[in-house]
Amino acid sequence: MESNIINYRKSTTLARGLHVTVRMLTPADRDGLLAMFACATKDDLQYFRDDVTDRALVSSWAEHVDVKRVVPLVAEIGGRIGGQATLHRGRGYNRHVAEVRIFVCREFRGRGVGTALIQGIVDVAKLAGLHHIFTLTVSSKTQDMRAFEGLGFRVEGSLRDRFMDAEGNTYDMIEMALHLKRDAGF
Amino acid sequence: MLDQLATYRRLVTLNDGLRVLIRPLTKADKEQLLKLFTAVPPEDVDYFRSDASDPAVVASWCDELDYSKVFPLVALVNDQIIGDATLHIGANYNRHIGWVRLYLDREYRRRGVGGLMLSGLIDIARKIGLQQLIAEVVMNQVQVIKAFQNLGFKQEFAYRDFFMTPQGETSDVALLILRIVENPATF
Repeated sequence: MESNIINYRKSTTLARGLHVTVRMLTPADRDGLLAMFACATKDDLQYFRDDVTDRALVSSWAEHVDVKRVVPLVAEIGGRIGGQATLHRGRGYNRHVAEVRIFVCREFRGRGVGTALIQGIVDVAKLAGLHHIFTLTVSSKTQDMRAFEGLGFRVEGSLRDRFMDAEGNTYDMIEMALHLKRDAGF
Repeated sequence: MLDQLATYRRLVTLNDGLRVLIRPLTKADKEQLLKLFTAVPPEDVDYFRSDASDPAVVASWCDELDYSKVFPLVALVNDQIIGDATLHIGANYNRHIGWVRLYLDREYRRRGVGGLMLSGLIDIARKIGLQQLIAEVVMNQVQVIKAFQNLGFKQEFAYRDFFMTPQGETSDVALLILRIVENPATF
């Protein structure tokens, strides 16, 4: 099962002929990953939980992939990494659940790259036998929410003042979840 | 600020006469902490997210102490660690939030020790400038939820099917929040 996850690869042609391959991050992608995060604007940087301007940290993500903890999928477009989605797996009593995080470079947004990455994450989550996956998104990011809804994620609720921007203002975040296993029922 | 917080100390005599010292965990506590977590009964292990039954994991909590990321308080009775409460400080867009976790030796539960430790973490959180404290408690732990509510935490959300037993049964996890700063946007 883990080897199916490590070898995950799916190529798609999106609208306007954009060819995308969604695949696992490898150590050879270190420079490509650094270049991808270098495209993040000051506004984009607010939406990360980690410091993606820390080159040593980002390099370690490529050099030490551990799919039992975090599954990192990249969207390869024309030899570049145009986006990344990560599946952060729970442990102990959370081992059946994982959180999805996603970033797509501005030049590739609105073209289906994010949707292709999320689909890859859903495929991997099923391979891993997960019960459900979830994502947290700022309530104003309606385009992101629509991409997740398009793949079956549903709003579970709102977390008041969960997000703080660079100026110290707080905003609500929405939890959206995709349940992969049927609930027990009659 | 962290230097000041490192000197946090409270020595309290509880109603039943138990004398408890609450202070931050230090590297020198490794052996004591291992003793606490290797004695965890199997029914409690189900409620851990990190592998506290692995001595290497527990040892790393002492060896890799970083109060700017995780602020750990321990409770001592007769120089023995009987409880561990941790404040996990959020980063970047979560930098105004801290998550609290607590483990108490069974013999010392329902005696006021947990409340003391959490009050300590609330003091620390205020000094650091956090706006919210969050506790995630499995829904069937009714007494634990009540204890948090007695300290001012309110249940604002429930993560559906977030908890799974070793047998594969799921239940919801309550999100209990203490808003240290209720209205962040004020004049």
